[in-house]
Amino acid sequence: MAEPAQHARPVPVPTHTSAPFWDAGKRGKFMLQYDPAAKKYQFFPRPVSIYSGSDKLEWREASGRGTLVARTNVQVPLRGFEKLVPFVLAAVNLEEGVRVVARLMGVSYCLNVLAIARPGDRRHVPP
Amino acid sequence: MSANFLADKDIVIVAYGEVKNEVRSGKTATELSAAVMVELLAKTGLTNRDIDGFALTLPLSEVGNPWYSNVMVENLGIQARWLQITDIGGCSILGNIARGAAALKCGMAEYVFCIHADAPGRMPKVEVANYRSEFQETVGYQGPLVAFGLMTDAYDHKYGLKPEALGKLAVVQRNGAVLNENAVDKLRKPITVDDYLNSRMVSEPMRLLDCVMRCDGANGVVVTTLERAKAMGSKKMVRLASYSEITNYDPTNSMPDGFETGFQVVGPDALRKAGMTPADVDMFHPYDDFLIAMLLKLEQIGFCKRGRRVLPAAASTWLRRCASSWARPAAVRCPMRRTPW
Repeated sequence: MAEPAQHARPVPVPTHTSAPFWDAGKRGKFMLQYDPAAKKYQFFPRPVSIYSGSDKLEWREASGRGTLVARTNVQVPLRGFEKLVPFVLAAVNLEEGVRVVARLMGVSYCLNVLAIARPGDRRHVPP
Repeated sequence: MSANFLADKDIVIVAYGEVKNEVRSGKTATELSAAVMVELLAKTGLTNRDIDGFALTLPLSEVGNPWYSNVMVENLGIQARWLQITDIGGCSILGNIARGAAALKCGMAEYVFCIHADAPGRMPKVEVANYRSEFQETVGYQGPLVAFGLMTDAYDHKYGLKPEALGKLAVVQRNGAVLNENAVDKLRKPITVDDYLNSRMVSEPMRLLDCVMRCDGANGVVVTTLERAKAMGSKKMVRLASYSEITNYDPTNSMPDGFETGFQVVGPDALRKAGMTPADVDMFHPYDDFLIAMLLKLEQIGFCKRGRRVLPAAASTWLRRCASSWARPAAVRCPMRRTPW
């Protein structure tokens, strides 16, 4: 049987741990896990705090602001992303102290536009 | 830091075997392992009935098989008293030698065969629940191709990175493949720095010739005690001097800079345990990974200063030496952390 020309993009299959993240996403909110004992955030969602080992975790809404620390222009697509290449994936340090990798929308890979922040810089990445 | 359980140097490797690396060979990991076992038996004079310790690595092509090691020993006619499967990625191979050494030290086995085989040409499609499928693939994060693309970009930003320097590393790495009959055939052609620079971007700024490729292959060693090796009449052997391992380095750092990794712990630790410094090392056999990863290993183990780029002269030296032998005076393994990068 011939392979379909366009594969579906991968969709997340939430776990008990990650379901609050995806449920909040459906309501347009970007939530992070927070350990009140350690007073620290963590990403990706885990069943316990990586800081204290505690399972007493909260969900808090993120500011949506972060600092770009690295980016790459993806030209070899993962299955399902064939029509999107090239696209820019960026590693972003969020204000809350965690790093995420996100697809940058509406920008092309360009050194002048996508300057990497230096310490002290504030370059806001839209949520 | 832990004590050196190999300080007596009484655990030895008495044989090495490998098959030719091929792209989509059509073979299974079990078939490739059998070929390595046959070679190891011929080199040692042992029979499969003598093998009582067996250590495997978890292959990509067998991730859906929870009985992989059981099925393997049934296929090979091995009655195992100590059976191990290790799933720390590319570190599993060397990790198994250390685990086998520990089993020998504890008297759990007499002859440990450590065999690594994979046939990603037959990789099954399996669904696994982890952050990778939820938080990386959903944004188009193509595993290591993106991870090392980001890392190359971050290195360039932090230290500056001349593509020509990586190109030199690609050339010496390829020269090793040209000398090695077991290398993948299509990679047994010399390349130039210009070939590297002109290779297409995969995850810009990372090029095709920065990348490792998937292929089917297998290798293995026989590990035993010095006493038994002498009784076997082994003329050539490698004595293990030290080992150091770390997984999930610095787990509470949610924004690691990517240039502080476990290599900076296990490299100096293994050398210290062996009573050596980087300057004492004549041969270095890293996993010939994405070029940026090799560069970081050289830096973090202590062969050159941070951010001093590739040191092409040093790289040429160790890669030339790699071609001549496979002895490992001191062993270091550290899996790359799986979270971003």
